Amino acid sequence: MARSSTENMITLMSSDGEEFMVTEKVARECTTIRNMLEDDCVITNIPLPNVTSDILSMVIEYCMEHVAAAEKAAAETAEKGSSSAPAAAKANKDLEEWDKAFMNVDVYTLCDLILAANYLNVSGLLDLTIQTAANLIKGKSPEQIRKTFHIQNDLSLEEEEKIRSQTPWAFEKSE
Amino acid sequence: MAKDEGTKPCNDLTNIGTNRISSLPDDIKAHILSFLSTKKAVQTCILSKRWHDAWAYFPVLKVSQYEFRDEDQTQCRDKFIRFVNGAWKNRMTSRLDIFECYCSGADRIGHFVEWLGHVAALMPRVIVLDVNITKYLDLSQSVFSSAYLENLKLRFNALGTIIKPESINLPSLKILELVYVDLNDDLAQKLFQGCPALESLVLRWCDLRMSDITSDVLKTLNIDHCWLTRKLHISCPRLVSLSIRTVDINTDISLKNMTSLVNADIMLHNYYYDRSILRSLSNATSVKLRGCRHSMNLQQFEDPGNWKMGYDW
Repeated sequence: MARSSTENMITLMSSDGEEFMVTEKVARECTTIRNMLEDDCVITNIPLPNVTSDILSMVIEYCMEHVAAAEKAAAETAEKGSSSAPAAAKANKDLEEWDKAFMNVDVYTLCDLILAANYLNVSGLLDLTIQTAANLIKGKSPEQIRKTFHIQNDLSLEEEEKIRSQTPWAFEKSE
Repeated sequence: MAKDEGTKPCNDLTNIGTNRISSLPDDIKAHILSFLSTKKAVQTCILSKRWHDAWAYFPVLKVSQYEFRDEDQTQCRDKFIRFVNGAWKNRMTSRLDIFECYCSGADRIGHFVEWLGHVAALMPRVIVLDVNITKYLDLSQSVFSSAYLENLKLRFNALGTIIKPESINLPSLKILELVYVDLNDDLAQKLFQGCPALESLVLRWCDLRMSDITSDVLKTLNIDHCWLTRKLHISCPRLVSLSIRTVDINTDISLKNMTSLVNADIMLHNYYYDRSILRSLSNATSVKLRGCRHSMNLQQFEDPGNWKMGYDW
C-alpha cells in the first residue's frame, strides 16, 4: 500500500475485528464513509459491522486500484496539458481488464461483494458486481440458475405448478 | 441438501450461505434482473419462494418478439402479445424507468399504440423502439410529449419511414436516435424546437429532406449513412463532436458556428471541401476528411498544426 506521509490515514474495522489502514482518499471512494467524514472530520477509526475482513480487503483493493488509475490519468493530463485520446482509451481498457479479473470469484463472494458495495455505497463496484451477477443468469434455464447460485428450491411441485398456471403467458414454449 | 461451502471461509449462517443470492434485498435482486430481458426476468419466479415476485418490482420492461419462436408468424406474434399484456398486468410497481420493445410488424399489433400510451403515462426516462413496420405506424402522440424522457431511440427497418407527430414537447430529452426515418423540414423544426435540452443526435439510414440543423445545445451530431436531398446547413456553436457519412454522391453541406468543435470525421463522396468548411473545422483538434475530390490526396489530419488552409487545393 503506497502511503505518503502527508495524507490522512483512516482505520476501517471489519465485523470480525480486523483493522485496515487506508488513505483518506481511498476511504472516500465509499460514499457511506465519505458522508461520515464530512459529518465529523476528526474521525479516524470507523467500525464496519456489516463487512467481514475478507470482503473488506477486496473492497479496499478495488478502491485503491481505481484511485490509482484516476491519479495516473490526472497526472498525465497535467503533464501534457491535455490527455491524449489513445492513451486514455488504453488506460480505460486496462482498468476494464483489471475489473474483469477482479470479478473472477465464486458466487458467495460475489453476493457478499454486492452487499458490501451496496452498504458502503461504492457505485462503480456495485455496478460491476450486479452486472456480473446478471451475466451469470443470462441464457440459463431456471434449473441452471439454481445450480449456479446454489439456490435451494423450496417450492413443492404443486406450488411450482400453481405459479406456472397463474403465469401461463411467461412460460409458453418458445425455444 | 445444502452443499458445502467449498474453499470459501465459512460464514456461520450456512443456510443463508447456500441461498445467498436469494437473501439479497429485493431492490438489489430487482436491479440484477433489470439487466435481463423481461421474459428471462419473469421466469425467475419459479426459482424459489423468495424469487416468486422479485421481477414484478423492477421499473424496467425489455420485451422482444424475437424471444418467441413459432413456425407460424401469427402464433409467434400472439405469444408475444400475450406475454407483454401479462407482464403489464402483473407488475407490482407503478414506476417505469426503461421501456425497450423489439418486434416485427408493429403496425399489425393492435395493442402496440395502446402499450405506448400506457408506457408514456408512467413517465419513463428511456424508450427504445426497434420495430419492423409493414405499412404505417401511428406512434402514440404521448411518446412525443413525455416530460421526463431523456433518451429516445426510434429504429425502423424500411427506408423513409414516416412519423408525423402533431407536436413535440420533450423538455428533458438529451439523447435522440432515429433510424430509417424520413426527416423533412416540418419534423426537423418540431424536433429542434420541442427538444430544448438535446445534446446528442444520431441519424442513421435516414432520408434527410430538411435544410437546417440549428441548435444552441447540441454537443454530438452523428449523421450516419444518410441520404441528403439538398444542401444541409449545420449551425451548432456547442457542438464538440461531428461525424457525417453520406451514402450518395452530390451531397452538399455547410458548417457554421463550429466554435466548440473538437472531433470531426466527415466522409462525403467525391466532395470538394471548400475553404469555408475547412475554416469551420479549424478549432477541432482531431479531423478526418474523406472521399474528397481534390488534386491533392487529403487522407487524414490528426494535428491542427498540420492544417494547411492553402488555396491551391
